[in-house]
Amino acid sequence: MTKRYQYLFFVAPAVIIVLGMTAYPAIYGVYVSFTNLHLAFPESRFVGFANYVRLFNWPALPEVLGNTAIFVVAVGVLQLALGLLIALLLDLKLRGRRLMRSIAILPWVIPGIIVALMFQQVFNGSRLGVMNTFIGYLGLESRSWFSNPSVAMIIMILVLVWRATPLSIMLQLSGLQTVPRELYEAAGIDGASPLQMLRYITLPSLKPIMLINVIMVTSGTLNHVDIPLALTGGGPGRATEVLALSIYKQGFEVLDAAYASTISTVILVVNLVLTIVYLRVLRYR
Amino acid sequence: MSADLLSTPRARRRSGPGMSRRTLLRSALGYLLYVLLGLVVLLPLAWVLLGSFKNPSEIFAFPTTFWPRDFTWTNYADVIKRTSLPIYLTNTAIVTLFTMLFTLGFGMLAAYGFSRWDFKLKNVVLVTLLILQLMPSTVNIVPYYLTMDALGLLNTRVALIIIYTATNIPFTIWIMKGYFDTLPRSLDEAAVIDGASPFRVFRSVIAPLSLPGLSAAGFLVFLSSWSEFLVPLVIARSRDVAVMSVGLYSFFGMDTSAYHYAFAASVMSTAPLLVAYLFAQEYLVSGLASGAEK
Repeated sequence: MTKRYQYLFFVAPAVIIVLGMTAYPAIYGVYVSFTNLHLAFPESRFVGFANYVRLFNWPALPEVLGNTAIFVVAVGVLQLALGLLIALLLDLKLRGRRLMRSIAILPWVIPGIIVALMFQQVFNGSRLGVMNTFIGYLGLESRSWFSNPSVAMIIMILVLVWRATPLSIMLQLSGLQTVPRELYEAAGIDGASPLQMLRYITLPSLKPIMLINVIMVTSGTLNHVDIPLALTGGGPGRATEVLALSIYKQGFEVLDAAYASTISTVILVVNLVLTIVYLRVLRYR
Repeated sequence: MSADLLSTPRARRRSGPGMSRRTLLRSALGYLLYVLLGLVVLLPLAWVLLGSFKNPSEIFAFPTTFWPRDFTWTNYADVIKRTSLPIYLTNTAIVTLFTMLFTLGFGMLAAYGFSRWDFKLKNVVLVTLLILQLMPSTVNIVPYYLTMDALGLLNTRVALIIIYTATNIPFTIWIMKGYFDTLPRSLDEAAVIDGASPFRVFRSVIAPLSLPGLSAAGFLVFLSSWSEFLVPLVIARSRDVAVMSVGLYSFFGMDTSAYHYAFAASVMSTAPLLVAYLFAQEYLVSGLASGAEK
């Protein structure tokens, strides 16, 4: 190898593995969405847009899309708001804030399956469930939390917020570290109140990282499967089934690989749009 | 609680003559929020941890207790002896170990290449990696299944190692490149003058200096390969190759009709991550930030 191409030795293996195992499958998935591939049958053929027509006319589509919208928006708003508030809290010069940071980040280290199992038992429908014991002290009857569609959705949202907010906290904390300290000192000399400093210095400086945060949370929630799958399984009925979960259910319970790929392709397109916005944000900061 | 914290000498010193009531009130509110945040995060975890030490009879007794009446290791002994959790954890450890080895190896090599050489399409490749980093396994799950089926790798740990390595390399490159960029090129040049090949420079000069960056990237790879759920559920769902997440989801109910093992199993499955977190957290915020911002 000549000196000029020495970099290939370093770069090529990683790039080949990544393209082969992420870019190629993505393209392959789009191709499958135009076939009638079913995991129970060996033969498949090209069917054009038939799967997309089927998806468009899927009776469950309005419900699943509605669930997905509620899930993504609710988790997004809660996670961003809590992430910002907790990051501001952890940025205050209080004693014990290092320990508090470690605690605040902790839920993100717990595997999704464990989080799901844990909260399944917290909201267990028997009188032994933690929540039922708790409301028992308040004199209320035990209830079966996951069998009420709206309650199941609210629990699923709160559980993902519990698990994923640390990511927003970390991003916002790193953003806070980039705010020049002199700005605060200057504002302090000018007699600005802490609230004014927050409003006119901190929040504007956080805007770029906030935008990155919005995109990461949206994409993360849209593509999230672990907690819906292990916590509620999409139930009761389809009350907590989101699009990402439909991919798994259609592909590996119904075994309709082509239909699952059609849903994947729809999410892939949304992901691409989000990524383009992300790259724009990065360029303009 | 906040009141006596505020009266500590340190707080008073900081308050000084210029500190207003408002500032005091603000830190009181701050500590109140600390307590609230701590409770929300730690209570569910504490409930699982404490539950793992309760006697089975206590777990199924009404009313529910929070603090165990007496601590026992029975559940742990039973989980190890009577369930397949040791197999699931061994599978998880094997897959995680090899994923880390390959991801960090290939990822560091590539990061060094991107950091030290300028070539055509370099930025295009880097941005492509960034895009692929935002492409989660969810949308690729059907093609993963079909590809591994075609390669005859369904229900193997190798399939998981291949997929995890590919999905973890992009952010590893970004973190490690950010770190290598901070190491002066004069280090490399001195070694080159001494006649070292580029790979030797990388191995003997650069790699030994990269521990901080490597800790952040290594922890993230560890965390994601240890916890991954959807990919192994689809690719490696048979019992003998099941990793922790699949084992707990698919088979744990069959291993035992009683859920009192679940506490101990959850603690055992999470403990390695917590230990790693203790060591890596120093580097996490800066490492993650450099991965997200560039």
